[in-house]
Amino acid sequence: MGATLDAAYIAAAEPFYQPSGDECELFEAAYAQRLPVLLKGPAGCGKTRFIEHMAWRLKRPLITIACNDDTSAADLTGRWLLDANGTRWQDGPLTVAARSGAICYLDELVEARADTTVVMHPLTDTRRMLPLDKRNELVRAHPDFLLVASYNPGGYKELKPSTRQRFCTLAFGYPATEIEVAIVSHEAGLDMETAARLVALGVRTRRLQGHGLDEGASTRMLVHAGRLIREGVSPIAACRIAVAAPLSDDAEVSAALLATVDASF
Amino acid sequence: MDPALSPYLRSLWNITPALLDITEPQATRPFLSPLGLHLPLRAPADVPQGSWFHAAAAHAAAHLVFSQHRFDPAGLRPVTQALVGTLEDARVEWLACRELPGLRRLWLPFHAVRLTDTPTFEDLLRQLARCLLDPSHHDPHPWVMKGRQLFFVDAAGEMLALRQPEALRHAASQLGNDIGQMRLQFNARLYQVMPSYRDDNSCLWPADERRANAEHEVASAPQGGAAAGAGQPVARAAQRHAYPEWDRLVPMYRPGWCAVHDTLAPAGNAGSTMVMPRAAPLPPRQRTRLMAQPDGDEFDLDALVDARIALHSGNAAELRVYRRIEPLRATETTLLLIDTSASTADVLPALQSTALAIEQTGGRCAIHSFCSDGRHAVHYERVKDFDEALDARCIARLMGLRSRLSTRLGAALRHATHLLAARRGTLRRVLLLTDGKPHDVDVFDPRYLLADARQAVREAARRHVLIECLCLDQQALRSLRGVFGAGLRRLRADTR
Repeated sequence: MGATLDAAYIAAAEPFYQPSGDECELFEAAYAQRLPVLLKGPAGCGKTRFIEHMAWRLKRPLITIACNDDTSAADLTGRWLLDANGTRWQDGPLTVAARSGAICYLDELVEARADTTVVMHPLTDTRRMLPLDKRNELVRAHPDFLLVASYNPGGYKELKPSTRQRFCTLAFGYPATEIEVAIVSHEAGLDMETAARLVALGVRTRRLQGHGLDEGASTRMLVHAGRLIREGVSPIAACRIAVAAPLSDDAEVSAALLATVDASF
Repeated sequence: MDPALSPYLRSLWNITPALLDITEPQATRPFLSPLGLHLPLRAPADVPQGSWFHAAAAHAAAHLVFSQHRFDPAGLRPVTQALVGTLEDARVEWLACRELPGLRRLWLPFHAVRLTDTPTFEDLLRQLARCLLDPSHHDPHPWVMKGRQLFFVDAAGEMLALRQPEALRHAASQLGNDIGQMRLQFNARLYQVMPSYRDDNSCLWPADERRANAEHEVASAPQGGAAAGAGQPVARAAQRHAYPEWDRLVPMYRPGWCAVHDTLAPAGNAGSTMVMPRAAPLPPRQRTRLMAQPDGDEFDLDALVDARIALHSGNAAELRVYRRIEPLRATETTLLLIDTSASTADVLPALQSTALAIEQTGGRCAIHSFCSDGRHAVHYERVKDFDEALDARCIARLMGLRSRLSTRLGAALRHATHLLAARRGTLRRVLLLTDGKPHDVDVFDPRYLLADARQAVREAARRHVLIECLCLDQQALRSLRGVFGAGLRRLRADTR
């Protein structure tokens, strides 16, 4: 299992990540102690890219599970399946990661149902084990296994304290302006001046957070706009479809965003 | 007023000046006062209509951001004062365009210039303004060329020369002297800043009479409302929202007609005799067991046995062999809107306890209340917000509600819709608790407010917000039926 898993789940090339502070060193320290890590921050600020980068840096396979409100405990741990010869057990991704020593990344953990998040509790403390009651098995986690989760605070749901308190938490925000300009420039392949204009627009939309917008433009959105510009789309058209239109359906806020885009280029 | 202007200025410059209507119908120029930005009700007729308000707001905002200095008018002739205004307008626009180059595209269409052989001073000012906003524009007039040379360091117009107020004042004096030598006339009384989107530049000089009057006019409106409700708790730090109202006779919207003052409801007296109700436990989350599912947590044994038998018999097996336990989901978001007009005096306790009972059935719920004193003073008070737990403070605010004033229903519904539409949820609903028909002191047509409320309900439906009404009064049911349709229910007498 381990050999095939490594080949499929280890990134071939280094995923680009521009650190904003000492988050890489802190994550490495947490990994050395096998402490589960929670990454929290607004959408599109680089949480997933960070864990991809760290998995590559630590040379561990990365198994990502996108949680949603249909994610059940069996989706994480595994279930019995029916085939031509009878029933057979199929490990879920969390069990695979625990057995093989991968980093298991639960993206948007807060979206999963509360009863689902409880199944990983025994993996997050000193026990480091996963009971599979349906199979009557106790899986001891591989020494290299690490559980990482992400969530977007300020949204509709919140994590239970009993879950939150099991994790060391790295808080992510939008990067500082100069760093964000460098990221947008690198990811979209743009000159620094255009990237700076895009980031200035991003900062402007973030001012509407709580005033009609749940969140302002993410770094990812700005990168998308930058890529469109690189494709030859005019900056205004690119920002309209990659930034203004996705941010809001509200007529007033949309009108304000479109006018801001027009003013920015 | 265009409601997008406020988020527009916030996103451009991170400023939120109060946007106020100039009620004089003949007024066509915006102006800035310490209260905020005053805008006329409609744009001048001879300009591009769609973008005029954006241009006016963006220009005034540039003053708020970049015009920190107040010029001393002492010793300045009217011609020089007008020139100080034009140069300062150009300076703040140049600084704004450096950050937001698209603003130049917004402003330029208003700078239409007619070149004449014998230009007046106003013509020259217009030409100079055009030339300073768009450095690539060439104007052959020597005075305009001189103004351009004084304003910019370089020929391309990429470096600003007039960075300090003293330099700007000096340049204005120089240009003003030239105007004097050209023997050009200037009538300061009739002079209006050009182009029309620019404010009257009164903000550049120490406070004058006009601004003082404006402050007085606007400041006196809320005080009138408070005086009518004498003895009532005075609203604290109310946020003002303007909403249109539907005039059924025209029939059209009256834009920005009603002002809703949104504030936190005052808490009740400490010595209130009302007992804080014990919070009922939330009902347990309901669950449902789904059998014979295509996927699930464990096998549905009956389905599994059937499938195995079918497979052994060589038949096609039904592969839905799992069972799953699912919570029943409630993604309902409800805003309970309590009518606290004077007519509810007898039934307010019933409305309060009904609100409390509905709140405690679970789900995401906010409790707000409203009453009105004419169209300028619709008081909207928040008892409990969506993300707030129903704690002692909320209960105190709920019990602190007092019946007073009138019922301007449409404006309150529009504000509630505005708040709800910003929230997520598959079912967003305003539940109005009222005792009867809308009424207000400045409305004499009994059908006017009903027609406006009906329009507000339709607007809400377009924004996917459902509006329902629980009415205590049998008499009012018939007229409210036309407003809420199937969303109207009668609150039964035994809940009183």
